[in-house]
Amino acid sequence: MKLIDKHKSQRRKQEIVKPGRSNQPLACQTLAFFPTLGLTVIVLTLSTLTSFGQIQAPKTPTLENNFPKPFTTNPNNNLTPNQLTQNQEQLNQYQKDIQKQQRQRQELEAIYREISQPKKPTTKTTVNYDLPSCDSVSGTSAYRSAFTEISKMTDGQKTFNLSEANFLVENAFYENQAQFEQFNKTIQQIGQFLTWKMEELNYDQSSNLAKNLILYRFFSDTLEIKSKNLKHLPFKYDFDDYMGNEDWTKMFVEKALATNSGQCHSLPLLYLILAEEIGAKAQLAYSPSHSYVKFQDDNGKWHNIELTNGMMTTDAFVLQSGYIKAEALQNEIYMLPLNQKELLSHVLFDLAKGYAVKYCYDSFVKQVIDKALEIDPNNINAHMVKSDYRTMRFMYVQKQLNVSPDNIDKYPKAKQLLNEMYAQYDIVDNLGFEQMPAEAYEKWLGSLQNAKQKQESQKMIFKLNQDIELKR
Amino acid sequence: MKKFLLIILCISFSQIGFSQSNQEIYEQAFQDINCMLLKTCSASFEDAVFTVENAYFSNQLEKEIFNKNINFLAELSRQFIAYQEFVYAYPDKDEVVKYAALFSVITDTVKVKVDTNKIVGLKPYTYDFNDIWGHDDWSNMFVTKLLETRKGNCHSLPYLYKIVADKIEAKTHIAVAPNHFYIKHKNKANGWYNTELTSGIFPNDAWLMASGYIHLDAIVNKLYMEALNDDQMIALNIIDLAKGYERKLGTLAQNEFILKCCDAALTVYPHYVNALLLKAETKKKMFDALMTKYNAQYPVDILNIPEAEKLFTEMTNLYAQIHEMGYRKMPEEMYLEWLVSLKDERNKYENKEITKFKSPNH
Repeated sequence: MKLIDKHKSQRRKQEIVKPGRSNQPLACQTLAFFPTLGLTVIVLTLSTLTSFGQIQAPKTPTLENNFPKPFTTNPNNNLTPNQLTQNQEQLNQYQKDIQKQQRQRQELEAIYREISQPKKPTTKTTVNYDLPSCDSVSGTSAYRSAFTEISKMTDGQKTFNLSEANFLVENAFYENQAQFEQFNKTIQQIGQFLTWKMEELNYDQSSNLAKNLILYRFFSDTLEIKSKNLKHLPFKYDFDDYMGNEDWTKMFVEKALATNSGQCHSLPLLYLILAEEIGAKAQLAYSPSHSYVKFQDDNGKWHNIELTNGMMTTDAFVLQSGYIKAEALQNEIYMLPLNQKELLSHVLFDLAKGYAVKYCYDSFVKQVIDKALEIDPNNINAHMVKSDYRTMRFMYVQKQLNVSPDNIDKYPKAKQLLNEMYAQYDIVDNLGFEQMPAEAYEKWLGSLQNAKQKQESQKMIFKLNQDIELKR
Repeated sequence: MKKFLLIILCISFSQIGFSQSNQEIYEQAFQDINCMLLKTCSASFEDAVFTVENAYFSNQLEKEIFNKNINFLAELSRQFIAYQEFVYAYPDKDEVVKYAALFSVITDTVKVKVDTNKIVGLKPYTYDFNDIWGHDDWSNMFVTKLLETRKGNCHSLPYLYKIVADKIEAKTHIAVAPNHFYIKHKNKANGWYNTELTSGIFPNDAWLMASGYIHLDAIVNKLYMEALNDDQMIALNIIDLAKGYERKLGTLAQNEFILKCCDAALTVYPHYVNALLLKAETKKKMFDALMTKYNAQYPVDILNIPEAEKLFTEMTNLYAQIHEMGYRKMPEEMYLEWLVSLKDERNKYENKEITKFKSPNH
């Protein structure tokens, strides 16, 4: 029981690739399973597609409860929901995930069967070759304006700043109801707190190692400044709906701040935003279904921070996941620190994904993803969204034409869409992507809890602390 | 005394005569393979391999027998494709079934109907734990040896696989690991995956990474674990040729020829670790020879000689480059341990998703 819970707690970032909302849970789930399972989408999407015409206006999320509260004295906001129900939910979620995967596998085979069975071609004359747009839904304008703003950062009209860019992404979901100033104030307060703490500890404020270590402690430790009556408890892993299936805002930095708990998408981003605030240099890195933080100490040596567990990890640990292919490393999709451009591409991916989750896959998603891929052609997460988009689009057309790929030559436009879809699958395959099953992911992250890894992490932290001591 | 001199002269003459013809054989072999890279003749992995092995046997191998063996294996693969049921639900089935056939032909016991009522069982090609490095006999590395004895190593097994794959037009890539070669394929169900013929298992990349001798940089820099293209695979043969040459001619081997081979391989495959290593080692040998010539005790003693200084710089730059790319020497004893770990820890490292023929011939 304990073990499973633990695993559960480390489950992350699945959501980055395969989030889903309650109104279209299956479609979104499977989308991420490209190319291995990806075609599943096809059948699953159909249910989504049929509802395209009657898109329900998404209910506006309420901000009151979610908006980050400014840093207060004794912020005892380490919310610990009822432990019992939490455990139960984790177990259920785990079983649900496994069932989902099995279903996806079966569905994929069904799709291939369906594809290869020719049906009577339709005589319908008007075929819509584009996915229906969600343009007319009022809230989408928030996404468009966010895209315009972030685009300014991509073409150099505006300096890229993760704090603001990420705020734009999250606020678009909230239909621009929040104020950046307020969010920024929270970040500044934490920054001030960290600076004070560094002063108290007599840390060298110019040392990148010292700054990262204080950040690391902010996430994984209880930090207290007694003289100012300030205290912050470590961030917790949020087990509940960690994939954002029920509530997409679970992915958000804003949510992590408000509840002092998050997952492998929100915590690393918050870390980087805070790093930006206190002038620490740290970078994001991907691994299968996961993201973590990398930083360089004052000697130029790289270190990995695993925020889901508040631990330091080795590259060997990351490689042990077993789902990193050589091609993935050669194409630099995993384990390497993202530079500013690549990070901006990641922000755009978040924007596209949020839009797709809240509204639909339409040409706007493609526009944003193309921009993300323009600045980082090997962004694997963006490529996955593009795969989903291409699949949906082809299946939408195929459904209208009612034709199997074998007979598609008669419809050059549809054929082109099919080829584009396959070409996109090839890109993903060539990049070395492999879907990491939920069980494997949990097992891998759970292995951090074994004695050897813990010891290794403690050793690394001890060593880094020593380096700081020596510099003082 | 005169007689004695005469004998020495005779011996050295005969030696020169002998080595010259070998020199010529190797020179010709080099041209025959290098023209494939220069695109002045048609490229064939099979021909390149045969050329390398034939040169080592002073052109005494019979191409006909070799061809016959390969054609037999190709035909066998075709039979598998035609008559065995292959359950695979992706659009690239016609291609992937070839991979399954090749895997069966090489790693399974195959029953062949020679007559209407006569069935012959062919044993699988297996790993030969004897002299895996070709230390005792260089020809233990050869495909011809494998065909003859049905036992091979990580050099001959993937090479044979590639040759037969070319015959049945199956897209196959050889990949390099420390002291090791293996096969890579790509399909629509699994993306890239590995085929390890020494144990007949499909290992995941984590197994290779766990060898402990593959630095992360070495993967990123494609020193290892890269699916090689056709030119790169021909380049492997040029280095094989150089190594065979070195082994065969011993002290008579000319460094210039070896360097020529290295450079030819490196033009199409600039990060081929074995070519870089051979080149660095050859430069080192040449530098050592200079030290002996000038009776120097330390390298620094002859660095005022331009020729020596140039060699020394080239050599150190090469070694530095190789190290920077992530190369770490894997001790020979560790190799076998690692190779065997695949069978011992099969559960951990096996990719169980790869589609094979369902228990063939049963």
